[in-house]
Amino acid sequence: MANQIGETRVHTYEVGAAAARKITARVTIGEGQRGGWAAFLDDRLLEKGSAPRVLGLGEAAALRGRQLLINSVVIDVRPETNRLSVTTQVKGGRKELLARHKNVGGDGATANYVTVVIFI
Amino acid sequence: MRTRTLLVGAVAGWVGSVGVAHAGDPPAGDPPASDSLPGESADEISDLDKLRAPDSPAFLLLGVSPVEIQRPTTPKELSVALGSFVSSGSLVVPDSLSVEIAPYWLFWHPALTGDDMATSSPGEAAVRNFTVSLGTTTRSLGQPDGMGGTIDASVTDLALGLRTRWLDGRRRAACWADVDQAAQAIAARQGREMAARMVEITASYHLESRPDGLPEAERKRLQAELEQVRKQKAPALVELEEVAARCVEASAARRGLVGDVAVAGSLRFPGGQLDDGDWLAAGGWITLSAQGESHNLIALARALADNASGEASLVADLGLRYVLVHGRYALSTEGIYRRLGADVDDQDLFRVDVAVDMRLYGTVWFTATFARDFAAADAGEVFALANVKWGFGGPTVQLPGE
Repeated sequence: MANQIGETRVHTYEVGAAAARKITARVTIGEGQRGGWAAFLDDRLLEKGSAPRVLGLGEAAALRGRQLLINSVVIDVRPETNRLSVTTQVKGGRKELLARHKNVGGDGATANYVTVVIFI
Repeated sequence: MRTRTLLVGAVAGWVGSVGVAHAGDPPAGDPPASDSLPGESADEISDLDKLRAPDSPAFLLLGVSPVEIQRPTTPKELSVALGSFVSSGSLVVPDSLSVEIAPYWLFWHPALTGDDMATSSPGEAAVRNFTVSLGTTTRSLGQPDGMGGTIDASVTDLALGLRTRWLDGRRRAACWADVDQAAQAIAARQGREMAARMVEITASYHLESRPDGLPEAERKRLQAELEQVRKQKAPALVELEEVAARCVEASAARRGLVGDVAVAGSLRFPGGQLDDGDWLAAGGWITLSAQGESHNLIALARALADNASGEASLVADLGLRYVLVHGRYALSTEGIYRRLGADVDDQDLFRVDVAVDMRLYGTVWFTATFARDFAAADAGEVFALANVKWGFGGPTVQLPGE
């Protein structure tokens, strides 16, 4: 069995004062690797996928106090590198958030990354 | 799909050895020179596969096959690998070094997706596949002692090679979708349980009444609690690993156009100091192949300038091979034109071979081979020096793999 990596990161995100601003998130599995992600707003599945996709989370006022959870599973399929990374970009609020998991595994390693964003 | 390999050895056994005039005998201990590239011994038949752009051109030029090659994956590892060039504050040539560097992969690429890799443009492929090979080797050579004799002296050769694949062919992409979907299903299943627990846990943090967010200590506590949940819910990934391993294997076979280019140069340092080198050899290779389900066409060009003997010589090759495997028939034909430097009698040489297989029944094949080697003095002697052989047994032709 190949090496398995896992980690959870919690971030807070200020949605800002403009109540009607649209907040979005984008998930990218990097390093040329394969895998999949699933995005949940609180406990509701928003979307799942593998390619980077912009997810509309809703208006700023409606998001305050809620949580976004991105669960991703990545596998090393590249002979050129053993690096594994997943980046979650949240935009539309007071500042941009770039939440990144990155690790180096062995050949064929897998990673289970959980990113939680709490909107304030 | 049936895959078989051209059994060059079977042809080589009866075609005979290559005999091409050399510019001069190389000093004892030197790698083979003249018409052969390093790594290709003089009595070994030269076939088209050996003329292809090498994976590590520096090592080929040095005529070495390192058992252990350092492949740094970070800039820090690279600086450690190259540290042997510095000794006591001065630049030196290490006695024995084998390093292969893929500059693009020394750094993180968080925005590079798996689909990006599958749809690289020639420019992107050239950057991502670019490698640098750097090698040194120390050998003992007989040198004039000034009194009419020779004395063994140690010299260190250094070679630098550059290589890239600018056309990467097409990989089988369908299985990647299987890998992605398997990963998505796992992520969704585990994520659903994680999200439900997250809502329960964060309820106790009263996030709705904290306009300034969580203090750092509480954020870390929440992170630790959720990490515990992740560990408890960690999915079994064995099935995903198996699907991915199968896809990695299947996608190794390319279809379409594959283009490689490599160059290398080497220097000799009698004193082991970097400021005291003589040029030894230089080579260039370019290979272009079209790979289909049942056929493969490859064209190549290479050149080697060699100064090992002290007198510069040049060898240039152009080659073409076509392999067709269809049902019970298979055909392989290749030709190599070789141009030697100006200081030999016969500058133009060529080599041709054709192999045909036909399956008679079961595993019994009729095979026939025709070959004409470089040894012929001129093009008109092709039939006089050609060999034709036939027999029964296993097939001799197969599609080359990538």
